[in-house]
Amino acid sequence: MIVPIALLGASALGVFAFRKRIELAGPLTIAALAMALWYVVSSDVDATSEVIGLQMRLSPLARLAAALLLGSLSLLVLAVWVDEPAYNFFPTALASGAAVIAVLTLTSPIAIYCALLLALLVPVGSFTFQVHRNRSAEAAYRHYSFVALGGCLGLAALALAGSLPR
Amino acid sequence: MLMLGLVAIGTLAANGARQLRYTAIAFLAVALAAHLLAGPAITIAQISVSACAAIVTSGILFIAARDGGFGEDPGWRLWLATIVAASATAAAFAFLRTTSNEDVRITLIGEDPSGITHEAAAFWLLSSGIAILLTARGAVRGSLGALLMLTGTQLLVTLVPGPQLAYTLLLSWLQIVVALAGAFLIVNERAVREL
Repeated sequence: MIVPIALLGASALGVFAFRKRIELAGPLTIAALAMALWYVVSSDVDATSEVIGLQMRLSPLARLAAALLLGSLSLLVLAVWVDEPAYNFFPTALASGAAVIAVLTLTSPIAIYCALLLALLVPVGSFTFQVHRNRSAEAAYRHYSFVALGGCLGLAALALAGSLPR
Repeated sequence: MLMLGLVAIGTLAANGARQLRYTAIAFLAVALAAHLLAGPAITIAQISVSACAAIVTSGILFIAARDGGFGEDPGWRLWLATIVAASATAAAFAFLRTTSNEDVRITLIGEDPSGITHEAAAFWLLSSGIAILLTARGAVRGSLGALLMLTGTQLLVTLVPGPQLAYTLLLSWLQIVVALAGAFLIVNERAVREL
């Protein structure tokens, strides 16, 4: 299950480099999402793998959810590419897609929470637009603060619960 | 105990700094002291990854400042944040400490097998981060609060049994993404302010 995550993560870095060339960034983003979707859908149900001690498992529900979420992300990317070309959206969508698959396949609660926090923080980059005309920077800061506050408290609570003697 | 003192002084320095570049340097000191505090409980590989992440994070904040004079004056928020952090640390330590009923021997330099300094540092960093984040006016102090909270969380995660290197890698990446998002917000806020 590390393959689609690595593919989307690497594509996010690649697309970030030329995100302002929308005629390239748009199709490449959709191609990367389609490849990840194909890989997830064609994988065996209950396929397991391990990366540096972290177990990953693709349950039937995770496969269905991954297909739906990656499909929705692809449609959003298509809409942004055609209708409202916001260049920061493309690498953000790819990084969020990688985090979504990680959340659905990881089995350790702390690792799932870390991936979820990454998925919530990355979109900060696409929230701000026309900062001189609207208050999008302020809205992005509020989102960032709430995610950092709630996320760290949740992660700390999980860590405290995990370190209690059984 | 010495490292706990360094963490506390570094946090106060980062909290009181008026320039973002000083905040970044103070955060580096806090992060390195916090990871050294974990001591023999964590491996060399984990310390290397955490130290790298701390250096990269501080570098990101340092570059985001663009010039030595840019920052946010904490004013009265410094005192409020410090009082709230100190009270919350004492309360959290009293209620949430996970290991108890054992002999406690604290030395100035050396190991702390009871884990008292480890958990006290984690609660102090979490409380300070919350207090700074809640009293922040903008992304400069907001980013500092988020990074301090994450450093405290990293200390607590080292107490959890499991694949520690993987957790360290994930949390280090999370720290870098928090710093990148914070730097992005700082740059955007500055653009709005300088219009």
